[in-house]
Amino acid sequence: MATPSSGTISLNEMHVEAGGSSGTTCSINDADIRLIADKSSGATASWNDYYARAADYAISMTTGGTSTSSSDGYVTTTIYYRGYLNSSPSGAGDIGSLNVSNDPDYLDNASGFSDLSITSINQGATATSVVRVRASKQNIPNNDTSFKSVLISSTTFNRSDATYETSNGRSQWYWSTTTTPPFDNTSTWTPFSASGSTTSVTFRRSR
Amino acid sequence: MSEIKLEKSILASVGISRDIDHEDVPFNKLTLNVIHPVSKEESYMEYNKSDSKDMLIEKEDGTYVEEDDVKYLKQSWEATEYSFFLENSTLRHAEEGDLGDGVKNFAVPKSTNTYDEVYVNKKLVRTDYNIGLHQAKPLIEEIEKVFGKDQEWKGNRFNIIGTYTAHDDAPLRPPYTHEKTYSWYNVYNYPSQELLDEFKVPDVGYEYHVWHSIKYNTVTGKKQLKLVIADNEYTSNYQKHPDTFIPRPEVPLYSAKYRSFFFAKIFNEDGTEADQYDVFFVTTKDIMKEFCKEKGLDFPMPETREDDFVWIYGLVYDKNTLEIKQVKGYVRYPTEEGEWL
Repeated sequence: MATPSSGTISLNEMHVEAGGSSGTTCSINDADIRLIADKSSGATASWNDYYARAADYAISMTTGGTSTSSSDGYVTTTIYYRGYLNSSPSGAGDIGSLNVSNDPDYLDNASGFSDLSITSINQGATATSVVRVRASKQNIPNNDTSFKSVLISSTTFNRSDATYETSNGRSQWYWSTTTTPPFDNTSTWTPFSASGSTTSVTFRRSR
Repeated sequence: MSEIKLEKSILASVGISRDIDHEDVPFNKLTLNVIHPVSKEESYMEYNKSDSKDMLIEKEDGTYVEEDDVKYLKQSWEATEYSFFLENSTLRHAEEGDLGDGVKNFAVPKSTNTYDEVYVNKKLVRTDYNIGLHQAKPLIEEIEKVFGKDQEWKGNRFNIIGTYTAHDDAPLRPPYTHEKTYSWYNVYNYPSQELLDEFKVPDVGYEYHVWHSIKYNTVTGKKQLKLVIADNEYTSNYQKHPDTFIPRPEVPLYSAKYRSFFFAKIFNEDGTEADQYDVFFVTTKDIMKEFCKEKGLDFPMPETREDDFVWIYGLVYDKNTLEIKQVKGYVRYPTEEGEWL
């Protein structure tokens, strides 16, 4: 569980949260302990920097890909998806899989995700993409106790750069990107790997 | 322009919430509570740091936002959610044979047992039937009396045919001059070059949608071609593309979904185009009613049909003056009739 959000905090609590064994030898300058407060070696730190911190929430995703056709009146377009969808309200079928679905220290311990994906917006010259994290719980707090950033492959998405929306049993964060979709169901679509291969997703509270 | 002073409240229609960014710098987020236009479910939203900074006005005595900005955000969200509702409830993936040559990745209606009613000034002005319904057969016969078998009417099972409603106060859409004008829609097909040549349509590089209509006036014996044109850089940027720019009147806020806004032009057989253009868009009943009230226009739907799902609105306007001549609302209904196609 995460370190306390206030009051007394011990070095042992930091060490355990960082993944160490309780009661074992450690120092405030150990790499794993520095990581939960995002501190470099020898950097100045205060006890406050270690409040409400948690080890990273790392997910290994087998990437999926799909597309849906949609219309307004007679006007139709195709929307492409890459990543993980599970009963997504987007209407697209399930794709991909995750090795873990929840972490008690992240996203208010939501039971899982309906979307961890990238989606195409528009087609042709104006095509862009939206990266979406949609967790299966309503009213998840939009603050650093849920996550501060999420690293997808090697791209960092800061929570404060996301638009947040919650309704109907879900909470979502989404980021608009200028990434042009590949307009197929299989190719690599940054930051997601090609369908069938692995994409790493890491939620972080310290950075 | 009026400003709203914001308070920290997640329950307020519009408010602010404090947060810190990835560098631990504090900032205010704009928050909204919105109601889905169909399900009436409430959604709570918090805008990101950049968008919030653009919209929030920080003053010594507090944080403000332009009322117009809030209205834009709410209405844009509502219109877009409405269009998602429409597509998810009425469409399915196309199957083999549903689409014409060169048409790919389109959805089609879940059923061909449907007809569309078109309303103007709260009056039913036209009914369009799926080509497979028995109501389509006498309309085809009326056209063939004058024009013969001019088209492969049932070339696509989603084709549509309709005509104007003959009653005293049902307004005709200009430039049509008689209710005995029959509209045949060839859907999920791009207009062929042969068809464009027949109506001497100049090739200016428009991006046409995958349906078009031929209008048959059985009184005058003349035909017209209605082409549906995507709104893009060439039609919307006068400075860069003055030759293809399509002038348009002010329209209400509409769905942000791709291609939910487009035009139609009518061409005569001699290549001249009608002075009246159409602009079509998807939006909600409330947004449309507000727009009509502000512009002194009649909301198209009668009170008894206001809660039916209008799948698209259209404005008929004069291309020279931009005066809006008609406001149209299209509603699709299922029919109990069996298919005979």
